[in-house]
Amino acid sequence: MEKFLELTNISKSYGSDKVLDNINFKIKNNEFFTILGSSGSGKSTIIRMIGGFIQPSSGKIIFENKIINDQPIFERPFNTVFQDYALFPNMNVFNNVGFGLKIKNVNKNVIKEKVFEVLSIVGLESFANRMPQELSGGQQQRVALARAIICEPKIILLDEPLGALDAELRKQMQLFLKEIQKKINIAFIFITHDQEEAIFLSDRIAVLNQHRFEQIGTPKELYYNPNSPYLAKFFGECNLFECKINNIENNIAKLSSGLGDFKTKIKNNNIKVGDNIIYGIRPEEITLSSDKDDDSFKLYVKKIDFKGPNSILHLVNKNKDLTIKLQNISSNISKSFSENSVVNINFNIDSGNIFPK
Amino acid sequence: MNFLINYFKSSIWTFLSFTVVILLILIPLASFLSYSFFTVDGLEINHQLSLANYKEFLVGKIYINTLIRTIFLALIVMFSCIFLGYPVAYFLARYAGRFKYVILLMLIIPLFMSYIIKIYMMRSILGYAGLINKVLKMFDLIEKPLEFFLWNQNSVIITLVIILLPLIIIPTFTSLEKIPSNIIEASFDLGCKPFQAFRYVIFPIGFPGLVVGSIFVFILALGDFITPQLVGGTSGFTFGKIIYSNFGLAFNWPFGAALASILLFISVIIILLTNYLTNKLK
Repeated sequence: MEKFLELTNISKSYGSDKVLDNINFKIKNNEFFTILGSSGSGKSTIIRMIGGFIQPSSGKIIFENKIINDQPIFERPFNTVFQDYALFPNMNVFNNVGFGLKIKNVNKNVIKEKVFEVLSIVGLESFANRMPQELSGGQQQRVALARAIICEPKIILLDEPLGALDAELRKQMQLFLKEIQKKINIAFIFITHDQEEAIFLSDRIAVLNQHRFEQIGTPKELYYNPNSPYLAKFFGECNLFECKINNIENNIAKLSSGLGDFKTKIKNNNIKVGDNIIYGIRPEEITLSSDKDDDSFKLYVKKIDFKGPNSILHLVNKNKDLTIKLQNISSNISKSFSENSVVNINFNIDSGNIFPK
Repeated sequence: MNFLINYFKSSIWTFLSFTVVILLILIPLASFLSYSFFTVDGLEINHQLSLANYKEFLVGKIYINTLIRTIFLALIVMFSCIFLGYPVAYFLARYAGRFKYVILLMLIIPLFMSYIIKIYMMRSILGYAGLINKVLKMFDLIEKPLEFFLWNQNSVIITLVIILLPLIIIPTFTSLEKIPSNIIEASFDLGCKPFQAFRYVIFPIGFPGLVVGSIFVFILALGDFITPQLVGGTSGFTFGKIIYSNFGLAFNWPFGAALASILLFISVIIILLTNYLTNKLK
């Protein structure tokens, strides 16, 4: 695992406003790395620092073992795809794409060859003579990407590039980006606020919350082993409720809760008997059963949301102070229930998560 | 029926706007052009059509020479305005931050002042006992007042540049200010050093504004007759001043109209030419 770009202890504040607080991460060669965060969380600030447009207040940006904090923008081997494309309005597609090479005084014939090669990668060979204003949003996006690719940067920084596109085009461009990244073998640092997009595209995701990274990991790690209740909720549905640990044996904890007692496997070790914790389980890890057994609970149906082939089941306990949500229950099963029907459920013993309170 | 009413409603406005243009611009222009084909008999205007006025323009060397000299003067004024005005507009648009509109307003205020007052103001600065000479004398840098900027072509140029400067700053500022900052960032990102970013991105995108300002300045400098009259002395007369004296002192309206038509023709040619060239540069 070769490390490539590294940010250590990066902080940024404007006056007394803290935008980023102690950011650390490493990027590997050829990786599709996504920074995920809501708007205003400081995610653009991170790639603007990498690109060299702003300076961190403290911390180091290290690229191939050299600190590059003071390297000017035009010397950094990175290229940016801007949110609203930032194509040069005074140049046609050909000149926009060839601009980076022209600045480096590359031979004209070589530029021509390369521009058409890159335009064919993004599927715009026949648009070389168009002006940017004559292109659709998705096409402008692809020109912006071609303009970055042609410089053969070590990393391409993408600042919410799909933000301005409509849903349909967005889906297409996601596929396109994923394909192209594998094809050209350049590391991408991608910024988005859309969880699904991040999960679909990325090799690894860093979740930015309250100016710091909440967790960094592969999409699967983040989905199955979130390290906070916030993250558990952030990627899809999760049922979260308070429990007490009664007993730990062979890495299996016995928990008691408002629903009843149940068992779960422990993944993190710093948990003691008697702790109050928050337990989280995803709806798809809960199974319905007709019979009551040792580990199942008896719950009552509170509400059924019919969604066509599938339904969402809202269940409550006897005291009506705890609800559990089950998604994607086949409507074939849910139609046999009505309000206040009794249901037995089991939690998958392997897939619950325990968060310290 | 409704369709017809709507049609007439909208065509009334079209008709009115055309009438205004025809009455206020085209008719005076046409009468002015037709005057240039008349001649003068003493104090009477002879309405017989002839090309005598144009012939006199071509034969009397002084008119062509003055015209060429005036075009040069206007070019000098234009380029001086570009060299002085562009950096100001550039600085305002890119670096002045939240003060830019305040500074711009201060640059525009002189436009609201009377033209004559501004010229007299320039006289009081440039004159024998003007501000410049007084200050230089105060510091004992000169013994007697400097004269090279007095009552000659130089004083006309200096005065015109100072009066017309805002006209180049405003359109240039507007076009430079419209450039989104991420386009400039993109140029750095693609490897431009600061000068290259200016050369390949900022300057070409802001160019149309500079052209508009330059045409303003050039046309106004070309036709000006008050400035040469008030600060130009005997050597600083321009084509505009000749036209003026034909309408005023000489009472030769037809000849004045012919000279003015020639100036108008040249102005139109220059506007069309710059338009063509800027389109081609794109």
